[in-house]
Amino acid sequence: MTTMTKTDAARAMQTELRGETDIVIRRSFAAPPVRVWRALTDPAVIPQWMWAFDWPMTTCELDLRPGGTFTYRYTGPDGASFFFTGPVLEVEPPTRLVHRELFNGDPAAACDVTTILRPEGSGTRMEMTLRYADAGARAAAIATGMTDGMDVVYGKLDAMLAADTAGIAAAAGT
Amino acid sequence: MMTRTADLDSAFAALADPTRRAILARLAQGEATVSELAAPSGISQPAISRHLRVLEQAGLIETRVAGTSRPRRLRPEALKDLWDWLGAYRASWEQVFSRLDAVLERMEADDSGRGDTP
Repeated sequence: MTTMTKTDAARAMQTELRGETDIVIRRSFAAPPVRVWRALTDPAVIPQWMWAFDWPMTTCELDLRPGGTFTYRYTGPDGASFFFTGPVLEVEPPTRLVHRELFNGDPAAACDVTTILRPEGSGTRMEMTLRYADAGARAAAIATGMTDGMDVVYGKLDAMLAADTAGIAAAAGT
Repeated sequence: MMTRTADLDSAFAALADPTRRAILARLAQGEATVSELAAPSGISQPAISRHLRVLEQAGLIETRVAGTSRPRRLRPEALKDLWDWLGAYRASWEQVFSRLDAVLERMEADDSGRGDTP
């Protein structure tokens, strides 16, 4: 129970729709930046965590230097798969990583991802900014592939909405 | 159920504007006419009307006809659809980060096991 409380309270994730094109995600971790950086950039470690629902990462290639490329492929239970690929743009261990990811290699579905790691006590505060080409691309990215998670959140969202209809304005960021 | 990306697209585009978010927050308190929305905001009625049109086309609000009055009100089901999408999006990241928590703990244990942690 103590662990759960710590996870919920101290590491709580914040998501923000900023402006027309950006999604900002903030999260704290118990490990120092150098260890989070390794988890974020070591192809032997990345597939252990960077996936959701029933879509594990089945291919992980990363050439970690500016101008290098990466490919992360995910495979679903029915054998279908999708991937993100693109160039690595900036590498400043253990604090700053910038890469551009193209969903299924499509240049029209490009997103620039800036990941910042800052020390926070004995742990790390991560801030990840995903910047899309326009508001439509951002909405599509949120919608794509997220249907699997619908039933996971359905119940608690009912309660949230009942409690605070105006909360949608807050959820959209200010 | 809002299942088409085009609907989400226009809904998120409508929400990208702070004035429109303020209008939605006001309508969350109850329905209001154009003049009622304009009066406290210092924004002209034509400008308010333009924002309302964007919100209505995005399916976030609707117009009620009451005699000569045209009060606007929220469409809670549209907001719920947005919550669902955003919630599913957040849920996927929460899964990812919970798994990362576990990986970081394992890495710490491995490092300690090798005795190379100060």
